[in-house]
Amino acid sequence: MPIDPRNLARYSAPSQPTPAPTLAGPPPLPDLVLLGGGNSGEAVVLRAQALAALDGQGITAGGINNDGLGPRAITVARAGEPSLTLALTERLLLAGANPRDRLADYPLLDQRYVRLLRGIPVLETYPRAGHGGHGHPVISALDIDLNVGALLRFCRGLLRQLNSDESQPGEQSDLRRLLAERHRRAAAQRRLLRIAVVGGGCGSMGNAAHHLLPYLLRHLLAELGVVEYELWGFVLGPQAFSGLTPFVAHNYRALLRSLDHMARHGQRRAYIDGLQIVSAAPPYDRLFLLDEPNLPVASAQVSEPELEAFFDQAALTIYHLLACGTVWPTIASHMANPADAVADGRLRFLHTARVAVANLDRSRLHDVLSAQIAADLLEHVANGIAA
Amino acid sequence: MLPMMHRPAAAEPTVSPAQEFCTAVGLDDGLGSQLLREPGGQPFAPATLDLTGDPAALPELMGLLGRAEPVGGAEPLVRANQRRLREAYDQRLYQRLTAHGHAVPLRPFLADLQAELRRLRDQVGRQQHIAEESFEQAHTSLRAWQDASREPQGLFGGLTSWVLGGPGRMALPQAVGLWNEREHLAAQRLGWSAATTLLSQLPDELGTLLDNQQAAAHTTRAQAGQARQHLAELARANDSYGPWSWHSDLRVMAVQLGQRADRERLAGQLVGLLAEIGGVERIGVVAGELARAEASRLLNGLDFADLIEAEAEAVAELLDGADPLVLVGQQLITLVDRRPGWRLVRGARPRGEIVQITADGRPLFRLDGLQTAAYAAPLDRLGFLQVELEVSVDELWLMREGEAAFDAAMTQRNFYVLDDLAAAWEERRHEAAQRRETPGLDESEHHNGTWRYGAPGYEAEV
Repeated sequence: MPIDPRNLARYSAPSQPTPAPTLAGPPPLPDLVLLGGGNSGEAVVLRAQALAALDGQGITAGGINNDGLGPRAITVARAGEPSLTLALTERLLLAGANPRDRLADYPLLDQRYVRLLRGIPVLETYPRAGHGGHGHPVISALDIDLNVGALLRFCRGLLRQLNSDESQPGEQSDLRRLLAERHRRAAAQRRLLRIAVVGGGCGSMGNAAHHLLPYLLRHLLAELGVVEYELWGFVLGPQAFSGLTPFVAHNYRALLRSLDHMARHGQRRAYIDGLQIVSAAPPYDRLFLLDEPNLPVASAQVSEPELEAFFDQAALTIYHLLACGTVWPTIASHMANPADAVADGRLRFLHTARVAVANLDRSRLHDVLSAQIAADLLEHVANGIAA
Repeated sequence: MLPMMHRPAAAEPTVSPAQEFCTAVGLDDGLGSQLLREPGGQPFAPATLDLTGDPAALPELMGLLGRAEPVGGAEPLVRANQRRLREAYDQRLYQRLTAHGHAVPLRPFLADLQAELRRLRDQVGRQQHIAEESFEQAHTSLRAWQDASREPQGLFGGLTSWVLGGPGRMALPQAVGLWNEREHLAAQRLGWSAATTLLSQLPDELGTLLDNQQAAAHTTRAQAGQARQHLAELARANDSYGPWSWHSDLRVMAVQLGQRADRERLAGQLVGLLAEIGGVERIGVVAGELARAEASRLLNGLDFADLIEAEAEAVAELLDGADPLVLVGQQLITLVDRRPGWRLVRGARPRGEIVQITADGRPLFRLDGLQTAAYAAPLDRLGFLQVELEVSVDELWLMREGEAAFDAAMTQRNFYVLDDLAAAWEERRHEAAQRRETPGLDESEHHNGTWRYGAPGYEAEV
């Protein structure tokens, strides 16, 4: 894209965070986990956490990425409390040696990726370990395959955080541990847990995560004895990522076909640690596509502010669907009855949502109003005294 | 006979603004008595003893009669009246301080007021002196009678002198009268003493105000400037995350709500507090504290809709009768309704739902098909959420567009993550190539709009 230096202007950032102390956030909601896959997924998940923090809530969240650069920290001002700087602290970074060099170590992967890596030059993917999959979902899928053990440990840890309030620091003996574990399982079974995977459909890691994470999560939930849960997926794009790589539309299209395929047939997949996924479940219980069809506005490529605004909008929508009062129960109750069936063999499993919100910060209004009254009062008295 | 002369009528004594001021707030030479008046206007009634009452109460009466000190009881009333007068004085003084256009300029007026208050203080002081003397006299006489009553005089002599009195000694009825008189005088003494105290403070405070008037004006104006600067910074700086679709202008809202502040009362309180702390150096701090309390009072009970209406008062002339809350609601609905999260092909019919979300789930708007949900939290927030549900992959517009480009790109490289889909694509391509090589077979399976998924037995038209 040609750059005209004459258009350079100062970056005006009303939300440019003033460094504020990072303090402990509010306690997390007990029944919700957000997992962000890739840069956009992580950015949206962090924003959802920030929205929750504004309302005095916490959300258990984590990010899975093969890009070491995490999302920018977000400053949240809470009424009557010091500002909170939120960063995505729970991140699994899949980095290391060039993943394609490791294929020969695993015949299973070597065989699988012969076809999947067809036509992707090694020049495009080397040496980029730790710097993202650069628009190739297959590379991120390979990262997941190679690091499945670490991924499972990370996700298991996040899921267990939901019950962390019930673990006792002093549980030393095997019997205590056993009883605590039983207690955790029973508590988890009593609640309807919601786990949501958020990721772009057009890049690398988000796309790969939507293929593989749902079934790994279902496996872990079964391992933890959690039966009552809902697994939601939020696929971001494609218009919102227009022009970021040459593969945006193709990756998105391939993902949707995969999701449709998995919604019909489930998944069978072997992992290098011996794990066998044989699932007749769809990838997600609910799948939302979130996009901004009008982007980009002014050029062939989305600008950074456009992308940031899209992430904000996506986070706001996800937060409302998953964590705001009676919003989803209200929609779900109205949608409980089946729609007029259309017998055309099409699987109608895609949803979208969009929210618009007017918000007033009463605490800030109180501050501004106090300052207004004080200034008026002082001026008035000053005029009187000087008369 | 003296010639008849015209003698001018005696001129009405002129009332100075300072005297007028004092009279208006109830400061006059009867202040001591005034402080002893009940809210209904009747004078305070002190405790009295009555010999003609129930004989059974006689032992209690005798006990009270022997009390060394008066019973009193007027203290709460005097304190309340003192506070009320002081507030009236502060408020009127503030009005005079901040009002313009008076015939007498402020500084001479304050000097006159100080002199008038001193005159009143002297007069009231004299009344206090008289009340003190009268009280002391009655108190001393009663104490003497009480002392004498405790001396042994034999049974008969004692009883006789108790009832009838004797040489140099009051009879019992006289002592009861004296006791009642002492209670009355104790109340009077309290009233005049409180009046003197009040009237002693006020001229001193005025003196401070006069001495420091220019400096005070300068300091106050400087702190007013700082407060304006703080206000501007506060209104401008907002580093908190908040990706809201509608932003209210808190500055405008504050200006509108600020007009509802009770400035007269606040200024009176401010002047009063300054008098208490004895200087204007902390006027900004004190004004800030008063302002915060006033802001809390103003915001208390206002909900989200009230606040939107308050902001709209600034543009009332442009509203042309429109309801500002409805305008905000319309804008939010437009944002979700006109910008859905996807583009669908013609004929696709997703199930739709639109929900207004309010703090407590009570609807703010009515519209056909509009449902209501709750944030279930005390938030000043209004949301509209639109969902579109149950769409298939091939009802997405973007899945129809660019199919050929995708296939072309697939010939260059694979885009599938699942190997069975990648394999199915290759198989299909291989079959298509075979057809091309075999005359008579349809080569246009893909191009006639049919794409076969990797799973056997499923074809979807796109």
